[in-house]
Amino acid sequence: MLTRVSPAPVQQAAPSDGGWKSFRRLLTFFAPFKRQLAVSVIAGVALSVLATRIPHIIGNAVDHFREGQFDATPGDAIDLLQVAALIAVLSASRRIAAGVMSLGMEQSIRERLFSHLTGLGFRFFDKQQTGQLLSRVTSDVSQVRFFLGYGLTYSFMHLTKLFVVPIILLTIDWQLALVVFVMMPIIVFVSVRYSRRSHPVMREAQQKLAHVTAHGEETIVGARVVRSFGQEDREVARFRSLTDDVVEREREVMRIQGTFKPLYTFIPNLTLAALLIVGAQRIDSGAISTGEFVEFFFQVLLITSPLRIIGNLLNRAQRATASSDRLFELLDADDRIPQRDDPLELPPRSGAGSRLQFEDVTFGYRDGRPVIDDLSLEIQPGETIALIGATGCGKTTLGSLVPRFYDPEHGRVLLDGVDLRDLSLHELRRSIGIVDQEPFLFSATIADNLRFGNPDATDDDIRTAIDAAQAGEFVDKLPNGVETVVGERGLTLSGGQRQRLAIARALVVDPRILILDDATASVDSQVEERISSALSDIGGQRTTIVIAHRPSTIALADRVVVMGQGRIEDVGTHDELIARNATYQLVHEQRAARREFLLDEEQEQDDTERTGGLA
Amino acid sequence: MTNDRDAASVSSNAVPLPARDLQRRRLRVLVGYVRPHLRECILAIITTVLITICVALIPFLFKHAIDEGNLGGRPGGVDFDAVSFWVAIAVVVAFIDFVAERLNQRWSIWSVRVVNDLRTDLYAHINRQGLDFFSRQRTGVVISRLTNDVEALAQLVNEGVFMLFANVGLLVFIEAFLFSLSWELALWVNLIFPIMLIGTMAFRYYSTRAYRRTRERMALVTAYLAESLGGMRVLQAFAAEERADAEFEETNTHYRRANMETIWLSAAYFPGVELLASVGTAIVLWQGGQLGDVGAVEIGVIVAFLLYLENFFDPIQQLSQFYGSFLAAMAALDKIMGVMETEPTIRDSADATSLDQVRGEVQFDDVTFRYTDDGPDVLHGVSTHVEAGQTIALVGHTGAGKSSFVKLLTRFYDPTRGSIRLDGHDLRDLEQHWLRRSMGIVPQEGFLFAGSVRDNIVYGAPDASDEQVVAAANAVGAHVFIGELEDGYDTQVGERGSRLSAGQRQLVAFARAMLVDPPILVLDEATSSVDVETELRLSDGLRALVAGRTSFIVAHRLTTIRGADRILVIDDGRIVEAGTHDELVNLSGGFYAGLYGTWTGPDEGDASVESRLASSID
Repeated sequence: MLTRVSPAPVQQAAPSDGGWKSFRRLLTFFAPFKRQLAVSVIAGVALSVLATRIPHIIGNAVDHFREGQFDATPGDAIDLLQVAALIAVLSASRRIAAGVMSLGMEQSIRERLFSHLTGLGFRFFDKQQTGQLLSRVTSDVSQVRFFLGYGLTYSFMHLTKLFVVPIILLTIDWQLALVVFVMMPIIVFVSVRYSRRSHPVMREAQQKLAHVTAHGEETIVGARVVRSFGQEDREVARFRSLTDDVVEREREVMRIQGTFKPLYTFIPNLTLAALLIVGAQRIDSGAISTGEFVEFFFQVLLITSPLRIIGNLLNRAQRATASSDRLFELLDADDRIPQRDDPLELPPRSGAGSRLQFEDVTFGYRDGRPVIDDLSLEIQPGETIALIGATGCGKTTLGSLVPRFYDPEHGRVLLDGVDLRDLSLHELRRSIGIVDQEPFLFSATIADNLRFGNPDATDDDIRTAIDAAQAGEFVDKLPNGVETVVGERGLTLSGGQRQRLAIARALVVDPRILILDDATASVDSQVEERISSALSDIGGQRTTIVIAHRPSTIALADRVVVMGQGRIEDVGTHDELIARNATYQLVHEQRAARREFLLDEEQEQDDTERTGGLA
Repeated sequence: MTNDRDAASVSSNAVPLPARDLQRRRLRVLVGYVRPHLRECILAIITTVLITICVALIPFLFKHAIDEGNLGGRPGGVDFDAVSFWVAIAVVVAFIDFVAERLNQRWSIWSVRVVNDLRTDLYAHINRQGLDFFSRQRTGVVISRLTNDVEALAQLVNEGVFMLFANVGLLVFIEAFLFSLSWELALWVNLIFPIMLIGTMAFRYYSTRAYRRTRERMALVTAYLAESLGGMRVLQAFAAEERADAEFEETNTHYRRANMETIWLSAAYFPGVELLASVGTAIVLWQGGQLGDVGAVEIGVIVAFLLYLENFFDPIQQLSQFYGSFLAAMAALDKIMGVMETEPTIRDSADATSLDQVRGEVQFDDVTFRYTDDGPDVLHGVSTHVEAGQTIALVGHTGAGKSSFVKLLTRFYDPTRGSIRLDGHDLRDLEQHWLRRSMGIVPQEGFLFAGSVRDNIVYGAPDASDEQVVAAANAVGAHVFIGELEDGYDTQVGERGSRLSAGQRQLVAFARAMLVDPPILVLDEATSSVDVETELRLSDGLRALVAGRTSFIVAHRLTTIRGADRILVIDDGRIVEAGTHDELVNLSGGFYAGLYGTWTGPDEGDASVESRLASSID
């Protein structure tokens, strides 16, 4: 049978080196919440100490009972209620303080991560998978939150009890205390072992389950292929073998649970039984009173559950440390685009448009492999330049240098005579509109999407942009027009429709430089022509770079740049190039021969039904 | 930690439950999965009851040890025999409890199997569905049936039912012991019971709502995040970082506020429960004293009552939790059964056959088709005859009916009227499985599975040898680029083939179809634009692929269309023109000629294109 490797799920908890260091760093998250931390720790410790008063009061009452002082027991009951009320108040305050603290921490960690991420350059995102980043900002953050907010204060409370109760036990009767001291390490041992053995298997089970989900998802998305090749039975068999893996792990978890968990009740029960036997002798010899014995009994009950969850707490601490390692790794990622503290002003926009110059620019994604190789190019104000060349020759990369998605390794790029690196990144990007071949639209209304780069745009601005991008013909047919929600959670648009909206979005910004990166590839050629002419109507003062395959698109450019291997092979007008450049001729002819006959992506009826129009 | 469980157990209560008899029928289906493991299940019930009795018994035994051993300090000293006797019994009971708990785990081990069977059956059932099923249901929804809903049910099967037994049992036994020890004191203690009940119900009600809101808010945070990460290029290109930070902060603040509500509720409820338990203890001390005064209770009774109070509230809390997970599991069962009860719309007829030899002659006979009963016709009386071995190009505007034509041919749907015949046999009389295997279907964007290049090529013919794989790849011209990949045929292509380019994916999909060597080929040509060399390779691959078999190509490229034996021009659900390129292009005023005219562009004469075409094809 074919073994298909499912995408590896995000590693849940890698063993962390230098755990203590990152643990200490983790504690810095408490800084803004010192007050809540204090309340939660102090209240936690206080109520843990107070909790030991209750067995004491019970013991007193029992002695009163034994001595026949029945009129004293109502007083004991009232004492107990007073302590209990105080505990309740402390416990409620602790919970609220811990809640405010942990939620606040969660929010601040998450926001810090997010704003860190939005500030990172594309060198960083090129290396990352969205799913993994997502899981860091969600599950790793809540892992840390749970530990810092609850785990840590629980640990304080439990440690307090584990410290105070044995002392009380010793003061009551050292012989009885010995019985308990024998039991304590056994339970701790069981608890730690249980946790050590079961957690890795549980994680494995989760990972195997992720494989099941991945397989299910893939074959459901690819249902058509599965059916086309008649592979349904084999896919079911594969699914079964994947779920068998999960079952095996889960059964292992249950087996481990079956080994350890019964001990959790058995050992304390045995201890209580032993206490009765030893206690009977101590009472008989007059070393302790019945009341003291009963108090002892109930003191022991106070520490059984802290003992049991020691293993679990240790495990949580480990996982939180591993999570925080990953968070810090992310926060320490320093792939930011450097910015000047005192950026230069962009020269005022001239009526003619902006000048863009590439001077001896070299750039590569990996060291020693330049994608752009010592390239120089000057684009005149208001000019429309077409970039052509085979896949991988560096057209898109050249476009990415303009909004500084990347910085050149050598050479410089100048906008209206100013080095891009001397401008504020914000202002630079505001003056550049870039449209990708597969543009991304957000799950928002069309109007919101179009306003993305310019939130202050008026309805008229939106309308103008829609008309120029030739998007009106389908937008106006939608029942809610520009208020229709699109994107992942909205109406599914065809590639051509998305491209048109993306062009409109760039136009709303009214950029000095417009970069169309194969932005009309999925648009019908007639529509494309209309877009082009609309752009040139309103584009007098704009400089435009068009990356394209189609001769008709290329023909509209003032000049054509033929690229190859990161260099410029030739620059000229269509007529010049067709006369002198062999590559251009070939590209032009072959493209003409193979040009898509009938474009605009198929949007099949059932697909439209699937998404049900509007979500 | 309790909070986590609560959050998980209250999901999707909002779905109205179906009628009772339907519910019962569905539960019966569930029971059907348990039946093979009936022995373990019965064992689990017995041990559950046993554990419950043991837990309730131990304080009772301690009471006897205290009172009959005279630990209460009455004159006469301690009776060590009595203490030893009762403690010995308690130890035996504790041991029985220990063994029972271990045996009880056996069920948990089996319950995993039960849930797994259900999950696999569900998956198999989904796999029997036709494509119409997937066009009615969003992928995410179908997947969540397999994951979230099965998990919700798993909780019920695994422990839910036994938790019900255990807690009702515990409640009954504890009450029984309390009343048998001292009915007066039991009555007093039970005063707190209704308060606890009402408090728990109120907490359950409000916290369910609060947790739902929290989950919804969290989902919004995740969605915002996912979208920002996906659209990071746009976000940065439009310099919207600060705005995004502010929006993210707002989304997070909403989440924090919603979650804070659950914290207020917990801060009121859990300390309240503890306080109430202390009130119970106080009642025992106070009323115990009063009753002791008249000699009605002994110290052992007081101690036993206090021990019982330690666990008195657990059953109520757990039962209310059970109620939540029960509702969630029923809602999940409902959704799962909804899928299980959906019969595939296209099924083999009882006497469906397969053919030994396929020539590949296809006949469409007055075919009319609509996707849904009340939908519009997408094909109107389409009739055509295709000779064996012909290559047919389907041409037409978006939505003209090309895809529907292909879907009927591959029998992903049946015609509403009329019939389609393969070698004279109505498709409805043929086995679906066989039919699909006789057709190589190449979908538009060359969907690949995560796995190696080889895995993908052998997808339709798992037993193919390496030589056959290479031969197929070679035939369609994929071998060269595969050889250049990092690990050759063992290169992982990534999720949905994402590590390959669009053109490479297409070529692998060609090789995959080539390896199956089907008598009929159905191909949806990709529309995405690729560079010139790739396109040349694709059209060469395509030519190799269609050779010697009946082929239907939803065509987008002129070379493909020109290479076809016949072109079917489809417009508005009808075949409006049929013939070769040369025939159609000269049809003055014809649809195809019109399309061809716009295609050649305004600035280039027909002749020059023709000559260039000729030169580039040769």
